[in-house]
Amino acid sequence: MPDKVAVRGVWKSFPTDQGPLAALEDVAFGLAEGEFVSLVGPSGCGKSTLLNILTGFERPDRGKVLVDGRPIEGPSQRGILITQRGSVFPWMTVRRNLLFGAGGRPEDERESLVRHYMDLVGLGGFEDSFPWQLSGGMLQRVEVARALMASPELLFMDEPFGALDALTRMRMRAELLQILSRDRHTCLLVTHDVEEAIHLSDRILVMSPRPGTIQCILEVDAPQPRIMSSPRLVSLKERVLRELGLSARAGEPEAGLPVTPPVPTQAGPRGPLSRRRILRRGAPVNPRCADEAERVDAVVVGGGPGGASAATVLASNGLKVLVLEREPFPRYHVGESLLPALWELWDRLDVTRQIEAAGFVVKQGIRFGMFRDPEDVVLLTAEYPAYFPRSYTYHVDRSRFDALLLDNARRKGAEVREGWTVSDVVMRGGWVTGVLAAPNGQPPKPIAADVVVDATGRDCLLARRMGWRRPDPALNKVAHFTQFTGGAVRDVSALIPVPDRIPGSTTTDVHTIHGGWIWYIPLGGDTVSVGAVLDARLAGRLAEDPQAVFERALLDCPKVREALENARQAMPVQTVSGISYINDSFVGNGFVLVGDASMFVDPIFSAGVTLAIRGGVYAADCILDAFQHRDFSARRLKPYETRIRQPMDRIFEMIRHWYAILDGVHEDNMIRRAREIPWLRERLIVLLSGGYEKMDLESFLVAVKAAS
Amino acid sequence: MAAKLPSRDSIDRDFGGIVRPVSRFLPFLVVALLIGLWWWTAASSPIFPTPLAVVAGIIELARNGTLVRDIVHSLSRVAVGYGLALGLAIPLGSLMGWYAGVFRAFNPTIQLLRPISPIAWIPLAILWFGVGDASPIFLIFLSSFFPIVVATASGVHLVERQYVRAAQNFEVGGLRLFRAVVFPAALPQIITGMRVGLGVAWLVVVAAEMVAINSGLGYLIIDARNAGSRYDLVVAGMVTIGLIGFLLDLLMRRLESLKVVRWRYSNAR
Repeated sequence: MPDKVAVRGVWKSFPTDQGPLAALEDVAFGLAEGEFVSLVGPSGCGKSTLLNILTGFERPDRGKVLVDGRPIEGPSQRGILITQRGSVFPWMTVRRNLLFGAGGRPEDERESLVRHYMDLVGLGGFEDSFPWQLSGGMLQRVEVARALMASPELLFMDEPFGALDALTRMRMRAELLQILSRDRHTCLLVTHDVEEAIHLSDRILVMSPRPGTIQCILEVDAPQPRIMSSPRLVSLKERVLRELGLSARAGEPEAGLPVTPPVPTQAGPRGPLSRRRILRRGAPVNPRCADEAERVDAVVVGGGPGGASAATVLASNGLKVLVLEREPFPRYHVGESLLPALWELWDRLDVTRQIEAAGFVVKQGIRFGMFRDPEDVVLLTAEYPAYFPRSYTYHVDRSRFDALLLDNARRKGAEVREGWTVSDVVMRGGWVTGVLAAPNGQPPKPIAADVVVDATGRDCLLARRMGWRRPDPALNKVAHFTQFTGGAVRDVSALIPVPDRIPGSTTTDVHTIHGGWIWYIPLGGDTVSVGAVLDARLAGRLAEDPQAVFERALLDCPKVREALENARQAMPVQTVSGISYINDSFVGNGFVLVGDASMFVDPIFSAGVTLAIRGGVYAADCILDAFQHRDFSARRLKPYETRIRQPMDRIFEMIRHWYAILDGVHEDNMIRRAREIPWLRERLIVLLSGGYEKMDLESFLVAVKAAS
Repeated sequence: MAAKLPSRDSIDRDFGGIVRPVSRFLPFLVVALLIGLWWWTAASSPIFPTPLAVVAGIIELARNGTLVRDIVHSLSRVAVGYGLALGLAIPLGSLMGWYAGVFRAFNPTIQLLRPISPIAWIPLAILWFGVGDASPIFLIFLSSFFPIVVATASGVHLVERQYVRAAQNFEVGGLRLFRAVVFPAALPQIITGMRVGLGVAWLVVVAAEMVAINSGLGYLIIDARNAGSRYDLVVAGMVTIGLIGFLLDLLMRRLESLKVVRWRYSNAR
């Protein structure tokens, strides 16, 4: 049978400042009538470009796309595209949206079609609702129903469920299968989610990195309904991941060595872990080397926010957790601004009450002073309060905040030893099986553990040992900072509508200066933390006094100087290197990296603590799953990395964008534009509040570039 | 906490004058204080009227029919001038937002004319249209045209691309694309421009009536002063202007709560 769709030798490139950029190179494949095919590939490999060509929105440079043997000429109802961004028209009721897709059919037929498809996607009764009254999952179903109204021969889906939460995504998959079982369309699905591809498709096309080409085609030879945990599909998933360069073996640090499972000879028989074991606190453990080495389920190295969060979740689920922290708490740490996105994580850690009671300074947004513009740009979370459980967060002094999180971990059952140094991990055949540790100054002894959580912060214990550390030279910054007493504090609560108004609340202030920016963070009382982040090249020659560099930076910023007019510097200027990095991998056999030990993000978006706590909680989720399966391999732990890494490329891009803004004193930029463009403002506020998963960063970036 | 999150509506209401019960009495308190202050200063002045005199003035104007006549005249001029502005600004703005060429052709001229206060046009208006209804209407047209044309152009220009592409995917193009997709997508911003335009129009009608014609609220004020220094009637006219302006803005705000534009103003998405 001839293919319904034939893609023949398609090439496509885009002009850029550095000459043409090849996006697709000699892409060729076919889709049979009624077939469901998925396209997976790394970010930026040209999947979306390919879809744009298939739907007729773009033309290939070379090659052609044939539908039923005829070349396509522009977009048409024969092939409808569904995207994750969603294009349901928000100004029309659901019914009118569906009718929009129905084209020139007779009136009564259209009405009955609306009823049919609304029922099919399970939205009967919502015909007269407006899209803004529906949830994300419901909207995506409207999108599908509207597409079906046009009775397309082809359905193209570009990560249709990418913006939905995991549970809704699973449900949508099942529903899509059910819909397609009645109305068999030829489908092409672009997805990042390998499991989704395996669940839905007849065949999977794996694309290579840019310039994209079809690297291999895999058949999914299993009947529906598919059991995703069946050995056949699990090994298929492994195969796809390997093709994508993402499997445990590809990430194996000591390639060449035989992969050994976690030492069964010493541990005795390791049957599947019973659920009871996970839930029971302090259960007896396998007597591996019972008489000499200490043994726990998980060792967390480092008691900062990331480590404490991981320990809290693990201990709450009944695991025996040992936290080793080098410094006795409370220990000094630069004061920091948090993000409203943390409330959801704090709820999970069951620490919300303690944090509320601690009396930290309330932060309701960010103030940007741009290049001496007379008016600051003040962005308040309360302007779009629906995104977060609460529209405020705190400025904390880290010594108290960190101690509070660590105490919480202790209360949830984790054993915390302060003043202990971890000198190294114990490695056996490419597996981490424990750590070497002792109270400071004593000879280290081994402590065995199924999983080691590296939360050593910028020390990057394991990443350095593995050679995974990848500093980003483009973001090589140095921070000089100190604290003042008596700095002016601006109360912003008057700008906030009554229900969200908190008397005395402040903002995190960011002021641009030549070659960098200054933070100004009220920490309570009359103490403010002030720091200058400068490009490493401008941060002063090697021997120069940090105090002098800091004062020079202040000279460049009249607003901060004014605020500090009556203030007294309360401590010497301190200096840290702020070079950003993302390590090559966040997991290995028997270990995970959390917080700064996995990556360090430039402080401009105040994301450090939020990302660390998020990393700790998500790592713990994945480790609990590993305990369920008694499998601590890198492959089992990889979903943690995928989840945590997902928004990072974009966040790094945003940060680079910020530094590009600093170079353009007179130009329009996203911050200045946020004064007048509501949608830009909304997205910027969500981003600055830490809602990295609450919006589509990619489309935001595109929009930002268009705006500036 | 979650239950207490305000909708965008409530924020608008907070800023728009109809306030939450908690602070309901506050605006009245401010008004009362101001009136008190007014009374206190006016009591010692031979010319400046007390609030009571002004109320009496309003009643007098209402009784002899001047007030209603002048309000109707002012409002009908605004209606015609503003209507003309809408009729021209929205199509032109739409074309400018959609076609880069049209934008390039018209934008410099518009940006050049926009900063000129409509008041500055009064001499030319009288020269061209004489003393009559046409002059104020022309000035109102000028004053509301620019905000609307600029808002429409930017609204149409910023229509999110995925909506246009979806429409093209369903083979909808031409006028239907504009009517069903581009215009409604830009409508929230157009309405904002309309609101600004109407506000300016109301400012300008009063000024125009002071010089270019002999009826309307602006004329009422200038006439009350010239014909016997009746400052009670001057202030009565001012109060009326304020109240009507306030009501007009309230009316425009109602437009923003229409269901077809709620998506842009509400937080939902």
